[in-house]
Amino acid sequence: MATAHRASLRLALAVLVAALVAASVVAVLVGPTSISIWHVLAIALDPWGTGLAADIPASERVIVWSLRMPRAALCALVGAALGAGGAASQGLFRNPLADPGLVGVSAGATLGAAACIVVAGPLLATTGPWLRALALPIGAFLAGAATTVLVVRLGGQAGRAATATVLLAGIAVNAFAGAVVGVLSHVASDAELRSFTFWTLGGMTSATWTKVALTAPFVGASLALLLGRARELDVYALGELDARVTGVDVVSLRRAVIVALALGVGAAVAAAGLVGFVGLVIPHVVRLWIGPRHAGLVPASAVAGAALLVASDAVARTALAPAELPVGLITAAIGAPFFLHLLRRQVRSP
Amino acid sequence: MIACAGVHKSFGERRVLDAVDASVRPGCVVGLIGPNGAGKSTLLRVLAGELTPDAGTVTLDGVPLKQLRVRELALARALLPQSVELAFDFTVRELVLLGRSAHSPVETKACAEVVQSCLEVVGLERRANDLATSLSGGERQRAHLARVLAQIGLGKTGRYLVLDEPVSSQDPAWQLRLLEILRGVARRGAGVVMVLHDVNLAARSCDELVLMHEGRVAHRGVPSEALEPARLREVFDVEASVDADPASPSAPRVSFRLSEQNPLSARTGA
Repeated sequence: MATAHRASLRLALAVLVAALVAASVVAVLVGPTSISIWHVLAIALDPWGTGLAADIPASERVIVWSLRMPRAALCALVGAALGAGGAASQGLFRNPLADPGLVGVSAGATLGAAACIVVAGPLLATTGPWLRALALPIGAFLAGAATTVLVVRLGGQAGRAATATVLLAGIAVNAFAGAVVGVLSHVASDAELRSFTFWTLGGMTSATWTKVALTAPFVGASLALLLGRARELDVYALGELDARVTGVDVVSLRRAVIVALALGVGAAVAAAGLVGFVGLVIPHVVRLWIGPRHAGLVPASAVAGAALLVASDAVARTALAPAELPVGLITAAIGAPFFLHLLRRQVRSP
Repeated sequence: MIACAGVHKSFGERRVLDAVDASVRPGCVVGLIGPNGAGKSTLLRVLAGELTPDAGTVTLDGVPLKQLRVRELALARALLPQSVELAFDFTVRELVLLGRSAHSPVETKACAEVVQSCLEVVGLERRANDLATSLSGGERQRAHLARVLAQIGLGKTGRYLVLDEPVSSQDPAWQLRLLEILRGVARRGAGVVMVLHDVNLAARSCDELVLMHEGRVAHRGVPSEALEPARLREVFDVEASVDADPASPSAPRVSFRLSEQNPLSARTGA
């Protein structure tokens, strides 16, 4: 009863990487246009000068190279950021039901997106297409980062229950951001409201290699920051005071984790909108599987989040083809019942 | 040596420590005893550097604690509070391993060896892969003791253990075993300072006792001097007599006896 049955980290990572590769292959293969796996392979390898894709129709090349592949890559990045960010925020709040959005990054990014669509939209209409496409993610990212900084400032720097204060400040700032978003929705035109609603449900429709290239460094930096602090996050499970006595500079750790969340989750939300429940469910399941140590939990959650989001997006594109569901609907449809299940278990156990 | 001098500490209006001097030398076991609310735990947290006093100095080998980095201090001393929370399902081995985090950012082979020895010392090597939450209260206390032992490398010279009632949840055999282990830690060159509620256990296992009373040090010295009937009567507000401990002849044995009437039986009589 008491012995912990755990998979070894190596095995778990191998399984998860295999799942990610499989999901990516499927995601690039499926879609309204059927393209053979050999054509897909030839197109994927083409940039390395293999010349294999020479006699493949240009339409197939565009679909695979410019639509499906960047989309799968962006899904993987966003899923990785949300999975790892979820693991870190649960560690930071010492609660397996914590979500990276608790520090305000998602609410801030939503506010930034709403402002970009409603306030800046008419102005941006007069500019070039490149700026129009990137204004929204950049605006959302900056607003998410700014909101996180605000939450940390309001939550105070030190003290006994600093994490709890950050949590409360996050709730207040989330509510305030929600109110401003409500006002913006009220004054928005129908078209703006529709485009904002789609953004909030999360979606990868606008994935491009440019977006992938812009997102990747932030996600990479976030993962590196969290992995470097993995052992300290373990000690944080003892509580702030005892973690400090055991040698963890808790103020610096808290700051590092929150910066990592602002970078990784901020970039993910900016690129893909609000994709619910990945950050909550994935780390929880991975923790049950391999145990709570963050040196394994953070990377495994990142890979698992990536695999889940790539697979969910493939479902979102094909379930009602040619119509497309927002990927956030798929993850929330899986995540919400699971969350309730966890909650019931948590209530029952002492 | 960890030493504090002229320490004052108040929580709000309440003065908890009043001009307290105390110290623990390498190789020495110091017991803090006294009635409830005497300031023992507060003094312990001050000595561990977890609590900053309002006035007075606390030093580690002459260096003020507040000048040390969190990690430097963690390498020199470990603190075991009365109760510790633990989020998430760590195994017993993983819990003990947390004590090594200040030593290196990743788990090394040396870490694993220290952890294994500490688990064996507290008799939990067979429960190493069980969840810490599945342990009984006494076992959990021993697991956390193993964690702080791991933090100070099982007590090398110049390391300090600061313990708040480390045997409170133990049965008689484990009480004596743990205190013997702590004496062994001191023999290896570490300093141990702990709050103990049981005066007789303290008399048997400590080289020096600090008798606390209303935030002040009533007496500091070897057990046979510290445990005088008149002093105990004043500090604990209860009748006390002292004889030789048959189990450990060099140590004094204290017997307490209530002098006042039981308020409940008085009420029934009325």
